Amino acid sequence: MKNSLSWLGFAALGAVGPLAAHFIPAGMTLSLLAQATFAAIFALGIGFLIRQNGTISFGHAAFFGLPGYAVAALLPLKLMPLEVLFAAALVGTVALAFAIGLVVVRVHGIAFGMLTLAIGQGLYEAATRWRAVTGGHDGMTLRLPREVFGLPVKLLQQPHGMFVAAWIVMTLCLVAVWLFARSPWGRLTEAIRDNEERVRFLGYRTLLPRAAVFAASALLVAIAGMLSVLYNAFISPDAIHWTASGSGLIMAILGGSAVAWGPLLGGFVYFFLKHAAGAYTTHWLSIIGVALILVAVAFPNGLAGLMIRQRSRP
Amino acid sequence: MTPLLHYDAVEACYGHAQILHGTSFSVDKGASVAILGRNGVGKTTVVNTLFGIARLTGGTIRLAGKPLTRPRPYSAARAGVSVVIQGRGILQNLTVRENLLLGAATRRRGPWNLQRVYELYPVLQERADAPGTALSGGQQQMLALGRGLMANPDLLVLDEPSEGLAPVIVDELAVVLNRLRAEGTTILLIEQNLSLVERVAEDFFVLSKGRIVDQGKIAATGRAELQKHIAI
Repeated sequence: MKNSLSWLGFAALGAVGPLAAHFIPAGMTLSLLAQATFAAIFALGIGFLIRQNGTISFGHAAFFGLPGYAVAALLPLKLMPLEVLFAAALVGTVALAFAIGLVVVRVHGIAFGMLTLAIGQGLYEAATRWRAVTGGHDGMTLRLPREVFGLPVKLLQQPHGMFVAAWIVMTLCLVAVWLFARSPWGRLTEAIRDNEERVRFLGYRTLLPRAAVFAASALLVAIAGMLSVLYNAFISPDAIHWTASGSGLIMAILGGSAVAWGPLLGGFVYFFLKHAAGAYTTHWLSIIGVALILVAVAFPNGLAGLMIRQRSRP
Repeated sequence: MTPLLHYDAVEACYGHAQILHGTSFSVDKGASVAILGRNGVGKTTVVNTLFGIARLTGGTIRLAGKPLTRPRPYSAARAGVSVVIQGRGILQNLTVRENLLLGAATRRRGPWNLQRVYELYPVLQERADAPGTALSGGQQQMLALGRGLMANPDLLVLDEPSEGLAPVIVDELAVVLNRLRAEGTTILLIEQNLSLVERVAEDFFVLSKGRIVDQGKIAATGRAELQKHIAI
């Protein structure tokens, strides 16, 4: 019964995006919604890492930008069709994240955060200084072919088309995260998060599952990055700066990572709060800061936790 | 006969603090052995060294004759050692069933599976979908023991299993441990509850300041003599 309700919920969520796109006139709002959806998928990846591994990364924006840079750098060489290049960029990013994960997940807490920060900033420095390949601070513009995945690229570069596509991808990502959390692997990684030593006593080597979660969270973030690159046809070092990772973390904390959909909610709230506050003041970050403090103090499980608590009240 | 577990002049430490100073003892296959000692003498460190939590700095640990040169938690478990740790270590976000299934990580063959654990402790089946930490103290001890058995161990190590349990639950625990013993499971019991020790163990070793200072047969030793080793 609970399972059927969940699937019904996913189906309803998947339908909301296309329906909203049908009623909202094309323009600024839809463009913001499309970008908010990228942010939500980014936050979903970071929240997934918090939920399954119990660790906080300050360098995940690197995985947001890496596939975009890979596509931008390799596209002019015409080595393979764009679709294959997209897939290869995602696979490469996940492989790199897994290799990094094998090193960084051995430590916890502040040490983990600092390692991810160092790796993320290392890649940022490479993106800014390796001008011949990355375009340095100017970034890179992608010259995309007319079609991708059987769809006209122009359609995906318009707010309406991209919002619908990104929304569907977001729903599929949420389903994947939900299924993982319920799978034996998901339960194992939660057990490792709660008491790694105890799980090792039972005979498990805990390094691989933790590294796999790190790589899977990087995949979600990379998907968000790929959608963003497809929409904007542009990638710059700003996308992989540590402040972008910080924003992703704020979204995940704001939404709450105890439930799979919490970071998605946080992503949308953060994005629109940022734009609403930005319309009134240049000091919009202070408003975000105050909101974060309020949520952290009053609702440690984030907005999703608050919603669940309200719903379960008699 | 080669002992199932043999500690030979084992030295172990946490960081720079040395806890075991040449600990030596053996546990034969099928035996039931208790390690006695006051608080803080290194009883839990005996287990932690086997699992690589305390660093082995000297001496040798042999499992079924094979030396454990670099003990690791998973390597001891895969070699057939199950431990029911002090405090039980129930994984809080997992259900009773999930906690039990994790115990089968080593995929060792043997008589124990989920169904058999449920037959041993029907209450675990009744509460299979409840969070592990929602059980009472006694039921959590059943879960911890059941999870240990799911690994089909050659050696079952129990660290203070009676801690915090009502006497009637300790009685039930003694019955189950004796049943396991009768079925051939080797038991290493680290315990201060003499009532449990006397009913389950055949042999004992006394640990003091990281060394074995006495040993003998439980049946041939009086309660007062045993009490002397654990009294503060």
